[in-house]
Amino acid sequence: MATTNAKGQTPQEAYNARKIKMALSGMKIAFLLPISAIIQNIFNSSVTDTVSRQLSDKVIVSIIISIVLLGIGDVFAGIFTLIYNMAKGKGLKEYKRTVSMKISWMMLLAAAFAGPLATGCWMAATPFCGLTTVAIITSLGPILTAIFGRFFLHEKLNTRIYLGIVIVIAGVIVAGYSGASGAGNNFILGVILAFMAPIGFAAEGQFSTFVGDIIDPNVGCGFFRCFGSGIIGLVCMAILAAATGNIAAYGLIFKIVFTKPVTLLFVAAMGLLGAVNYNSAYLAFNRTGPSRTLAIDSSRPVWSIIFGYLFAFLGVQDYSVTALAIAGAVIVVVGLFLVIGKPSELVNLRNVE
Amino acid sequence: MQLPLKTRILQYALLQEGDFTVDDIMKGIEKEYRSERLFNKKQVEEYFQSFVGIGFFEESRLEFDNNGDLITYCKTTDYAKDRCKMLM
Repeated sequence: MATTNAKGQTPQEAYNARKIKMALSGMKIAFLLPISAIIQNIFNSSVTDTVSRQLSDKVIVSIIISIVLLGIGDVFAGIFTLIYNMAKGKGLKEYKRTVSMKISWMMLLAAAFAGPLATGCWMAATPFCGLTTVAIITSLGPILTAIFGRFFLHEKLNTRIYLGIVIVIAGVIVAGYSGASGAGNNFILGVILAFMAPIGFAAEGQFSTFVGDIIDPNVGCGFFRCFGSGIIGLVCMAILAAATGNIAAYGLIFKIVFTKPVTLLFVAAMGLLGAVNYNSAYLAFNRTGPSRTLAIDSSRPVWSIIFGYLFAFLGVQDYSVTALAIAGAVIVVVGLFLVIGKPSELVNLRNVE
Repeated sequence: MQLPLKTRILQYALLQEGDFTVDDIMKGIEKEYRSERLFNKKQVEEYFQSFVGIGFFEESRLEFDNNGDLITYCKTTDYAKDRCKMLM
């Protein structure tokens, strides 16, 4: 029996290399998150503008439009994920087996935290406490994830990684800073609502990883994060629309989406990018841990500059960037190097015996 | 009730007294899943490796076969047993 392989590795070295390779693949997958989110946002903005122009500009209607479009996009994401899973042999039979396990429904809880709850509170907070305050609070997701992950999932993180996450957040805040915003009309309520967003995203990371440890994360994601979250969002907004006298606007959103082919195509594109985004997240959570994954996801300021110039070059949309945004992107890169810069640490992702 | 493949692999491992390899798992659950395209060595290895990564499985013995491919003998950890009581 051979004592070394073709690469000259001992069995222990080959074993460690395999573990690191798996975790590194999770990190590579995690980089699809910010990229897919930025491109999805372009389609999302376009569709939201199209629909909003034909409806009331009341804040409540804006929230209903955003969450309904997100919900329809999530249902499309579920269809695309099902097609992908079926191509890999994880068809309806595997879906049925997964859904019949009680613990898998915890993923629906995760989806509800991240979808309607976090997104809804995020949007609702802005009029109460201002755009800048909301942007700063919502960028705290990775550090909350790291704190929760240490206790809930026993994620193995060290001081350098915590420092890296803090620097990434600082970079995100610098890049997104748009000057001191007005305090809004109910600052405390706004801050409470805004905090629900990072808490929701952090909770999603913990719960979905907890369940994804036991079931296939892509199957769970396809059913619960895509279909589940989409349907919850649509039902919640139907109730909200009915309660606030906006049920006609709610119905009109569907009419606009499903009777205009270009709008429908854009919503389907949102769904496809959502499928890439959610599935990448759930797989990366499982392979490299939610803290590293969400830190990588926070590199959006860097990618937004790259894609901004790319789309400007292609003539898709105009783009310009401020010095502050570039400074923020540089800070994010420094933080990311601290988070992901030492692959040998990936041999053990959790503090377990 | 038939379990999802990944969960069944974990259950099989939890119920073993000694250590096990990917091939042992394949043989152990083959009758239940052999008609399915999902059930292939690449997929089972991927699930096996994900359990290693999160600390559900730990190596008990490592060796190369005659082709220089790594054979990993694993056992489940107390962390896995604690987390997955419903499967035992």
